[in-house]
Amino acid sequence: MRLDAVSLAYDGAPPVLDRLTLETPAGAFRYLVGPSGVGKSSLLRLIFLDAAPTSGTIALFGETATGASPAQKARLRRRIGVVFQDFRLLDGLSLVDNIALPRLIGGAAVADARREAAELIAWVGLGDRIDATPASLSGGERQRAAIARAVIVRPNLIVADEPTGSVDDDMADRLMALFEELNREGATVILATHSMDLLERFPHPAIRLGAGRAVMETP
Amino acid sequence: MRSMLPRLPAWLQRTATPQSVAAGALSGDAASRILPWATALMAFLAALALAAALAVGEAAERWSAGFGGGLTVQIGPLPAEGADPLDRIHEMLRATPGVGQIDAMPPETVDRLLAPWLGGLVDLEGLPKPRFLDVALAPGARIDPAILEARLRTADPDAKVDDHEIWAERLAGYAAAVERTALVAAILIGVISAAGIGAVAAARMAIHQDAIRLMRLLGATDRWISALVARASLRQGFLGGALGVGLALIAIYLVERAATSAEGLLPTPRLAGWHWAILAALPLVAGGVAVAAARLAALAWLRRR
Ligand SMILES: Nc1ncnc2c1ncn2[C@@H]1O[C@H](COP(=O)(O)OP(=O)(O)OP(=O)(O)O)[C@@H](O)[C@H]1O
Ligand SMILES: [Mg+2]
Repeated sequence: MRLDAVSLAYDGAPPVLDRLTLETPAGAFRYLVGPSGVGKSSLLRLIFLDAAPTSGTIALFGETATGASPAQKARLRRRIGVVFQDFRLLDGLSLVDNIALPRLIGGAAVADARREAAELIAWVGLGDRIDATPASLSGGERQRAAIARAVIVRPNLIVADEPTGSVDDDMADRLMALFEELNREGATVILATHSMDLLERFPHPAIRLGAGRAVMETP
Repeated sequence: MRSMLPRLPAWLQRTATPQSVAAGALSGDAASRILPWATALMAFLAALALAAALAVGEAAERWSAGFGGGLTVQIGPLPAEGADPLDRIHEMLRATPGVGQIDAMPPETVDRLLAPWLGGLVDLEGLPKPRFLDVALAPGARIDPAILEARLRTADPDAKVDDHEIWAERLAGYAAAVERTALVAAILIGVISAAGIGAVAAARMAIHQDAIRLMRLLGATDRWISALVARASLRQGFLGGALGVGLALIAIYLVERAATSAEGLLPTPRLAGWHWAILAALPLVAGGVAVAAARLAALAWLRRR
């Protein structure tokens, strides 16, 4: 993943990100830290191609994503697993179909996608809620579901925005173990967090955002 | 692990496709609930208009065939004194090239045709009545009725020649006008329905824009997303179409039955077998129109964001 002099400004406001250059090697595990409102979520949105930079270019997996065709973007997005800060589960689908959705979009058979989703759901401790609607889940349960959905396609890049903010320490450990395991198997992980405790217990290099600039920190 | 699987009957698991499952995320809005009923009404109207066009076309063809290839010669009543011009007229007709069989219309038939006009008021028996000759023409022969009439008037000044062709042409013209109007009505109904279905599809996209945005971020293409909306429209269009056409077929059947009991007074438009087949295929057309309209509208909506 490479960002080259990337800037992002929301309409009329001063830029949130200002000519940011950043390179993360494939297979790396990076925290993204910085004060609230500094632009962590905004940077992640650029990476998972939810927004286009005001200027500069972004490359993913060695391909230039900025200005790519819709079809090319769709293909790149299928290689990225996103844990949204606000989860974004769909109320029209049961929990299992929410988790299976990325596989369904990828064209997997329904039975296969549901079986894999069911296993992941059991793994994150929601086995008894498999047919529940997302609206009936607690905040922590939704967060676990969002993580299960992000990893079901075995993405090459995992982008997680505050993925352990709503769960207790035991579950946080379990979810971090999942991210580390996928990272060991080759996935690049970018994880935005406020939790210094997390950085201590699971040490990895951090990218610190401040005033539109990024600084690398190694523990 | 078995107990973890969603509790779905096996046949449903097999028929479920990725898109049929994902489409659940875009369902359950008021816009899509009225669609089958609106489609049913439109299909009902379209089926009636189409049935009218088909039936009138068919009837006109039958009437024209009954008229075709002949003339009617009308001559005055049997004169009280002097020679009857009938024989002379017969001779002149037989001498005209292209004339085939000549049949005198029996007096009873003339009485029967006149009766409705004169009612029971007049005793037809003693009345001087015109006489009619049915003149068949040889195949392909054409005779100008005006010229023939002028010649026959030398024998009987009251002679009149009626060309069936003119009536057949007028009837065909009338039938064609009715057919055209009904077809245009059916097509207009189809176009309006398509526009309505497209608007509903666009409204549905707007209602579910968060879900659509998420699907895009998960790597769904516009084609894939538009197919979700099109698929729901197909089912609703087909079901609505089937309901509307079903009701229309019942209505048409009842009208036909009523018309049959009035047979003889009115020429009865009637639907042939293949007409029923066309009408029965309308739900498929409705489904097809619904899919195309929804898909195009959804793609247009997606392209704008
Ligand atoms: N869609 C938007 N339109 C306008 N401004 C926005 C939008 N999203 C974010 N911002 C602004 O951009 C800045 C950075 O927001 P962002 O969500 O990236 O911060 P963050 O670092 O993720 O904060 P937190 O740690 O609280 O999640 C904030 O000032 C925010 O108000
Ligand atoms: Mg944030």
